[in-house]
Amino acid sequence: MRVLIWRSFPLVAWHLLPRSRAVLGDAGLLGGAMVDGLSRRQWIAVVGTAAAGIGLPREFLGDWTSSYAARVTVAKWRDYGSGLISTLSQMMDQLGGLSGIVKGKSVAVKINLTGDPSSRVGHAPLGSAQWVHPNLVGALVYLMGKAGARRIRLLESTFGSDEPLEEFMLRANWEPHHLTSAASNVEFENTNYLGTGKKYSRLKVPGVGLMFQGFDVNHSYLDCDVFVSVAKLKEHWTAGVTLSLKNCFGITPCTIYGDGAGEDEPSPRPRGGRGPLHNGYRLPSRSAPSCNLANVPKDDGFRVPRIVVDLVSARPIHLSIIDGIETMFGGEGPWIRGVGTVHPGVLIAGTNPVSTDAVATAVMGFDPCADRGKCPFERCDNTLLLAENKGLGSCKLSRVEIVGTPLSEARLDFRSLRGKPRASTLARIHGLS
Amino acid sequence: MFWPCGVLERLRRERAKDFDLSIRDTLEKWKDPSLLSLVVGSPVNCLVLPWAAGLPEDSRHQHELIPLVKACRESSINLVGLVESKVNFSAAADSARGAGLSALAMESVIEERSALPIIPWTERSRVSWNISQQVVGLSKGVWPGIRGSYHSPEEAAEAGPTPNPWVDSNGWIIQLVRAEGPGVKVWMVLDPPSKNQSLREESYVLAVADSAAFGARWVVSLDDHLRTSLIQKGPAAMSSWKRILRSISFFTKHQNWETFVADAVLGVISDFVGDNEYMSEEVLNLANRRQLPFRVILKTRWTNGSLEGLKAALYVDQQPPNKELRQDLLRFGESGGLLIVFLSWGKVEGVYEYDALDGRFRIYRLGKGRLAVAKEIPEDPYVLAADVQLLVSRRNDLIRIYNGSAMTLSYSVARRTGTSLVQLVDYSGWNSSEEVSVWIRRPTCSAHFWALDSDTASTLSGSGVSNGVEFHLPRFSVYASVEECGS
Repeated sequence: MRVLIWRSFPLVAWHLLPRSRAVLGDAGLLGGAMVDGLSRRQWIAVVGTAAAGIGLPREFLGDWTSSYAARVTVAKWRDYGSGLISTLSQMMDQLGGLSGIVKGKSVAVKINLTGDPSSRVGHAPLGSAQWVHPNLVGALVYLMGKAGARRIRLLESTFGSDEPLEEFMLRANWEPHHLTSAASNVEFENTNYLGTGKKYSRLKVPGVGLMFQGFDVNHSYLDCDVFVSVAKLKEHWTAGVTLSLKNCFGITPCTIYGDGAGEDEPSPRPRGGRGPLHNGYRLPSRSAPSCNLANVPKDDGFRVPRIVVDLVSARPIHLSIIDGIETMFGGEGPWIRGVGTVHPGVLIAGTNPVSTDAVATAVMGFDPCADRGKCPFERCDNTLLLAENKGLGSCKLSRVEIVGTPLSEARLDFRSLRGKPRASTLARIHGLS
Repeated sequence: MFWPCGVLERLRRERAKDFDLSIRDTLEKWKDPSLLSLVVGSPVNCLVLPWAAGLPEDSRHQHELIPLVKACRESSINLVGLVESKVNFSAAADSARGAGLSALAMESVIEERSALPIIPWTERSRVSWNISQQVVGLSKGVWPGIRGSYHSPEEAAEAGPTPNPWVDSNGWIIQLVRAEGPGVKVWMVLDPPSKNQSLREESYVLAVADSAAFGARWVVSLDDHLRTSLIQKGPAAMSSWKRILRSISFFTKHQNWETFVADAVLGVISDFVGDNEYMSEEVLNLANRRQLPFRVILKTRWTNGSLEGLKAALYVDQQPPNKELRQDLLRFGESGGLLIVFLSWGKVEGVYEYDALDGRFRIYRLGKGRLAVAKEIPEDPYVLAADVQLLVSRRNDLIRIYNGSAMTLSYSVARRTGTSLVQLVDYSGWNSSEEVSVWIRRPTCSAHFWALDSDTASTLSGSGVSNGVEFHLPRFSVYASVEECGS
């Protein structure tokens, strides 16, 4: 039996929801004279591959067995240049084809752009460390457009601000035009606040949430047919690992859930981070759905995994993609001591986020089913186990069909990298790939 | 260098309740000419001495300084006498001239004729620009740094995914004063934040760099602990002093950088006085803090070329511009620029297009450009500075700094060669700035890297990134510059 959560989601109802109006054009206010956008053809040239030879998405391969709860594809790939589109396309084919997921659909893509764009791990561009790489996002957008996506909206809640997402990207030396030119109807939205919506949308947690009964979020998380989580292959100080599930922690707007949230109503503009969710020092705005916070510990290792599970329960992920071509070890961002960059040269994708994250966790050399106290969950409960218990998917590798590169060939022990000088670590890992 | 000594300094401190007996000896001993060995042969070529306060003790004080003054003259060190009061000014000026001082410095404006040049020694708003002075001593600046980190960097902000710590810098006001008095030398008059507590030497180096990077000079002023230790020639004190001198020497060797012209995409237009003073100054301060280069444009110095080379202009003032200025600004917009104004602008020209930044601005098409009208003046200038940066768009950034959140930057271009210069000042309080990257919107591929602790530059090779070039800087302390190699 194939377990594909997105297929069982009430897609029809999502079609009926109001659409957002266009965001501020990324040409900037100075007009088109400064636009150096590329055509889709040119964008492909930027990435360095041609679509020719990429087969049309196949129908779902009928080789699953009932013993598998989900299929996850793993691919070794060396860089973000030539061949990335081809590799990603093959991975999507292994999952049954992208068109089956996005054709004719409005797609929301939550990308992981954590922290401030001016902070780097060493000299590494953000896409080679704590952020997903722009070329991977571009490749995905291109393939989605080619697969018939009706609209693709890239989403992230920028840290502590309500600046347009394109401006946030520019600060990291990203070029938003490369993304808008990769497909038709590509939009951006900063979901850290109300954004272009007229009101917040409510996501309800089915059944009883672990901590929350629901969340008020930017309209873009409801105003879509398909939700995609594009994450980085990283460890996380609080949550052990941060992958496609933990990526959704950033769905929460800081106007409601952040340090500067309004008491009764959302604040007009976001301020600060998500400290209240981490340590419970204050409650979200009263306008948000009630939460089961009585007797909830202040321990962020307890809270964060549960909030993530509640978020993913309320906002199911239809496709998870994890960027492990170039990434970082030791934590989720440069603000964690002892972190460094690493080049695992691997991509992971799946339609079940729990199983996808389980494989990714194993790729990092960890046991995805480890209990609290065991590596990498020394300080926290295991989000994957909580998600499995919630029925969101299986984190047992025996229940996951891994296609593409065998796990043994993709695995890299992240924990062994800690304490290594950055330069030598990079050199050694580059040698492996 | 400020050289506090003698009875007038003691009296001044007693009046300010900033005196304890432990410093009495130090103030006396700093009259000793032998201490000039600290500065003879160094880049410090001018001392500022307490000279008169309109008190009966003035004559005695001046008399006691004669040996020091004489030794300074013999060592070709210029002297400026600090005059605290208008009372008996003529006598103070005459005695200063007689002793061989080069100039007087005073806060008050003197109507009477002076025997010596007078250097205004005051806050910006009180400088009278009608006088054709060569030097301005600018007081009431801020001690540069992250507040609370002067004595220990651990006091500064904790690590986290947060954006920027709060940095105190005088860079913006130096740029403003240099625009008000083109060609005038700006001296920053700043005392250490606490005279009773030892400052870290990085804090002094930072004071030197914060002024010099923006084209000014800090009038060196040491804390009492250091001055006491220097009398005793303590090794730690001498080491700190040498490092301070090295940093001054660095900027002396690169005086030609002061002739470089600030480059920017944004012009900030105001008269910078009266009702407009607070908002216009804060916009400059916060733009500087946001690493957004700007050009100061005074309405009183408006010319046809004021907006040349800019892509955006912010008209800050609460009063509408006069007819001529308005016409010039509209022409700027019509030719493709972005003009940002408030409702005080009056009747809006152009065709309404859309609301921007969540409705905080209305955008009008104006020929080839845009007019952005703020619906209301933000109470918080930080919000305005952030909005202006978004309206201008990061797409037009000239510079981007990575791992430099506690830094300010000065960006300028050589008049003759057109080569660019990026000067970075790190306020973090740490002794070492690591893994800093600089992206510059230039076609260059190599640059010279200068740091305070080296007399020679190293060459950096850049890599092309997003319509510019990125340089990875070696480790440095407090200050570094990246000077584009000639094309």
